[in-house]
Amino acid sequence: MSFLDILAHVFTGLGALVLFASGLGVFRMPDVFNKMHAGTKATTLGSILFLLGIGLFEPTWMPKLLLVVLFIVLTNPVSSHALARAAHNDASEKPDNLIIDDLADNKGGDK
Amino acid sequence: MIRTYVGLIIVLALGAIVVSSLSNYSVPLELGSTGHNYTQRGVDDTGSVNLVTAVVVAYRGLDTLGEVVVLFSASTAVVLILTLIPMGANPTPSSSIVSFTAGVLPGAIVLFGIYIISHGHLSPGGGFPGGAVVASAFLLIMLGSNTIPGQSRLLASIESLAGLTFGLLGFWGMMTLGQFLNNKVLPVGSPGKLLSAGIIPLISLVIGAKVASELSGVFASYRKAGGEK
Repeated sequence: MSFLDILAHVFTGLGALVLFASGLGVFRMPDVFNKMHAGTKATTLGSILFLLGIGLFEPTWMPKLLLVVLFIVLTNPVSSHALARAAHNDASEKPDNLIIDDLADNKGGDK
Repeated sequence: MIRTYVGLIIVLALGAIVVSSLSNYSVPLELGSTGHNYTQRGVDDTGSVNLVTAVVVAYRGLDTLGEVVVLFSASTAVVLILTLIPMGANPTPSSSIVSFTAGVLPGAIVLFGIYIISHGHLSPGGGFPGGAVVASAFLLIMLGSNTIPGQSRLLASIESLAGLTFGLLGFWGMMTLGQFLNNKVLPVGSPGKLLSAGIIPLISLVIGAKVASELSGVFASYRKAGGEK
């Protein structure tokens, strides 16, 4: 097994671990923002690691996989941002223990 | 609490069933007669390198026409219901992050969608997934803008034209070769080329246009229903 293969196993394994942690977080976290935190940040990192690992297994696929990584980097945080704002707009989703709420303070400022 | 235990028991029981049935299951090493036929003759018959597309569009083209009709009636029903009962909240103004992304990405997404549609007979994909990808670009544009979409005659025209073309392609085969949706009204060509595989690319294109315009119409009517209230 070459050095690249070992590195590829490490990357895909780490990616799978992060994705698993993300799934577990969505299941275990108490409120919408915590769940979102687990479900979005971790999936971004997990998919990037996993795709890079696949690229190390098959170096000829790397350019395409890097495009996919770029797409995920551009879209995943934006979609989670939009979802989180939508959840913030819905008063019923707001957890009781929210102490610092910059978005509510800034409402009207950021448009 | 009881629900958790009942769920756990069901999962364990299903697991036991799967494990016990796996013990005397052996992977079949040969395809059944239908699958064998498709894999042996598929490429020569249809010219489509992607055998899934060959089955979906050529061998079972009539079923796909049915699927298109299902999607059409579903989207019509959604638009009808949303017109009768306006529901949903006012769209909140989108943040600058979303607006910026909606300005940058849709071009690339539409290009990718067109690629998926036009290479349906060569690589995984085809009209349905490609059309959905194109529609997602329109959804992104809609999310990024703060205006409410008006009545779109263009979308409706594309949709009707695509459906009509699908039907006409079918009758073309009936008139020339005596079979509805016969793939060989156009030459099969050399498999693996972009312009090959008879009418499969045309049907992919038609399905893609129809799916994209229908889904975009559904998104637009959701946005409108939210805005009117």
